[in-house]
Amino acid sequence: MTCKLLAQKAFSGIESAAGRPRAPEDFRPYTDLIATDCMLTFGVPADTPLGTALHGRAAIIDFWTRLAPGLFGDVHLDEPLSFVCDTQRAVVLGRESYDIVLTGQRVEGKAFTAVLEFRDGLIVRDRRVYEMAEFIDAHRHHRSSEAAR
Amino acid sequence: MTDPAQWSQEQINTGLALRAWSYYYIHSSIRDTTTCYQPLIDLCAEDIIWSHDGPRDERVPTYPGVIHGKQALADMLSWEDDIVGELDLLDPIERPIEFIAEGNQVVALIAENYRIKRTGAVVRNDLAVVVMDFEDHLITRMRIIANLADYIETHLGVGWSVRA
Repeated sequence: MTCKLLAQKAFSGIESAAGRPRAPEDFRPYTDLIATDCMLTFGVPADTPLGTALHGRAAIIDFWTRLAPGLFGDVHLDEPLSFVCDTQRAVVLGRESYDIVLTGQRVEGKAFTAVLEFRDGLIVRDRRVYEMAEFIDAHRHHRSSEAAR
Repeated sequence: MTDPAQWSQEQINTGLALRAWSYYYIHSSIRDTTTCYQPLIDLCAEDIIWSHDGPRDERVPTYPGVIHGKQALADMLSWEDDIVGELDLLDPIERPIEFIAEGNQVVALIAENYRIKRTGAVVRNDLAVVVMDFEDHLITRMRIIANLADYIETHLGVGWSVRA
């Protein structure tokens, strides 16, 4: 199976959830393709949630199905995903809207990218780039407010 | 050796993308900012659309935004040099720019850091994504997806999104 087909399969649950809030089970096609030694990074500053890399299939599944809903609420995909792929890597491009659970603020049309690397048909590395300035600021503001008390 | 005439569309566009972003491989301490962007500008179509995703706030200049036309892009790059400095790859050997090409699109993955001149803050971008559309060997559209949190925070302070 080509990288493009694998990437489309991995994100098929996310795409099928377009038009309704995303649910943990929508990540199943993605998590089914996660290698045991996969690494997931989010490309956001280290002093914020998502600032550390996740290693291993169990940690990644735990993040998407248990931790992420506590950070992002009512997540909607805003437009169909697009894919740019070569023989080993796939770039997934999309936009989504969500509530920042910490503040309740709704942000819309936020761009994201997933750079997937495959080995033996499984995802061994997933590098995300999220333009999530509001999310980062909300958490930094919360942290500084807590520290000031 | 591969005959250049046999290069695929992806190979040709990747080579052009590498040339466009080649200034990253000259360290900022010895880079001539009056000329270094010329390869990039030369490879842009006259009606290029450049965009940088991010939260819009009238208090923050240029980023994010959409720019139409080659001259406007050149002006923006010149303006950018007044705002950020010491823009460099994290490591040109260990983390060179990665290119992923398919059809008329090339995605560049850039690990960079830079200093915001106004505050001196150093911003590290572990990954910035540049999506380029090519047509007739020119870039017609360029979209940048990167984390602007530190840049915006420099202008507006922590809590800007909560106060908005």
